[in-house]
Amino acid sequence: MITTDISAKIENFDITKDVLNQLPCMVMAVDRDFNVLFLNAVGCKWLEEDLENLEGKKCYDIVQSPHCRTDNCRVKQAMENDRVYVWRNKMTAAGKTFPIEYTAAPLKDKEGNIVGGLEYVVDISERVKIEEEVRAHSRTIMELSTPVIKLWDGIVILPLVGVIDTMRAQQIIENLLFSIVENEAAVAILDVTGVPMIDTSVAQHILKTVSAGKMLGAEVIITGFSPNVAQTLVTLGVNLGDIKTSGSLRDGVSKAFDIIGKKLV
Amino acid sequence: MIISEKSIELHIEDDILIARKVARQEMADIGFGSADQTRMATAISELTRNVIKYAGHGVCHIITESTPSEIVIKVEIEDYGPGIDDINKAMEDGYTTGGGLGAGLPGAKRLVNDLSIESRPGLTKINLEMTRPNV
Amino acid sequence: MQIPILKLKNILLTSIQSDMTDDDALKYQSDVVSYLEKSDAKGLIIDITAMDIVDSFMARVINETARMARLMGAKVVLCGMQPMVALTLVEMGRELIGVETALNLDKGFDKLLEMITEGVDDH
Repeated sequence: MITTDISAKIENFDITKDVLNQLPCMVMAVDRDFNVLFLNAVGCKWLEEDLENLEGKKCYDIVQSPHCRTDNCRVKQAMENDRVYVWRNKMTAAGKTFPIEYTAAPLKDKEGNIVGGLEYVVDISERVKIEEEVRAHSRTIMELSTPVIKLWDGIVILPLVGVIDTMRAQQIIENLLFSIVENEAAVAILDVTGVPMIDTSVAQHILKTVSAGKMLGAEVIITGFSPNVAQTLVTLGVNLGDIKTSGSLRDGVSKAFDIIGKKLV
Repeated sequence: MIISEKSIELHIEDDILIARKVARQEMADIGFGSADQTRMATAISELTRNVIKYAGHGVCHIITESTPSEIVIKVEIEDYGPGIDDINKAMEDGYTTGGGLGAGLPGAKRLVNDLSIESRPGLTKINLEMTRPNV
Repeated sequence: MQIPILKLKNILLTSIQSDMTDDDALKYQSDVVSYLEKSDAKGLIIDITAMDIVDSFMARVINETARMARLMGAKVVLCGMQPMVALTLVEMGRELIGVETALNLDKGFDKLLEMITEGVDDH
């Protein structure tokens, strides 16, 4: 039979020396005046300090971070508010700066009085790197999903495919307006043939694009409202007012050439 | 989490330009796009002008926060002037006492996610807030 | 700050800078109007390429300047509006600017000349 007597096993360990020191993150305890009470082995290694030399040193003497010596210090807040905080920060130790996540908690004596603060710090360089990559990917996808094409001198076209939510609608407007100015376009075509559904909010964004385009000095033509979309818009009571629409992209393009003074043969 | 706080004293017209320039810079620093920068800077322009026109002087606090999931800008504009008599009326389109198409307050509200006003004689506080996902 | 008003043939060309205070804006307005009277120009170009913010006050000044110029018989084109400025104005309440617009100075010039020769009514 396997013994599961934990107390017997734990007696073989010194909690401080063996457990805290082998934790692969920095653990530090300070008193209410931020004098260092304890720093585990990983912490000593990061900071290139010896536990013996820490006597009388403040935590902010050996670590530098944007929170240090400010009200943003979560250890300070943990002591003041008797709460646990988990926060991201940057830390500079022994000349190196890296992103960290630190958890701060109040340090209490046996009676439960708060006598200081406790924190453990994890190096999150890897995690931040991965997050950056994910962000770069989503930016790429965002750009791919709103491609503005220069069709002719003075004509740009933005074909939309798929579901449009408010965030993507914002992106579309901004891209289209910038490209109008960049390409000196007299006409911009917004083709919604590939959009299965347009709700009131997206319709409002389309209206905004048309008005803003006009203010810049360009015409915005909407093409490719499907029967479904047309039905919904009318039922919802969306007033598309005096905006130029064309049934098909083909008609829209020919209208655009009319505006810039060229005929399609 | 990065937090930054800037305060701009509002005394003369030039301070309007400073306040909106600072807001734009702070927003750019934490990754707000140019559309949002323009929206917020325009709203600040409207509201700080009111301070200088009607209250004489005040302060504009600009606080930006960046967490892994969100970026936030909070703007608090306070003045020590006579206060706004009827806030509901001031929020209506076309209502104006100082010229300017009456688009000041309601226009500013449409530009930001969140706008709240507290006003009594001697202290008016307007809070603006805009939050976006951190992408 | 003085905003330069240039005369090219029968057209007045003015360029508004972004860092303009309210007083500067009002001074600009009265300068344009008195210059129009002196010069007998047929057209006015208001170039706002450098303005990265147009709030309701600036919009009003631009609007009024255009209306005053029209009353004095000049055609007016506003050009060079930044895309995000256009978006912001629309979001604030779309009809803030009721002036003929062009994408940039080049196109603005063409449009204005066309309006002057054709005698288009831009009211």
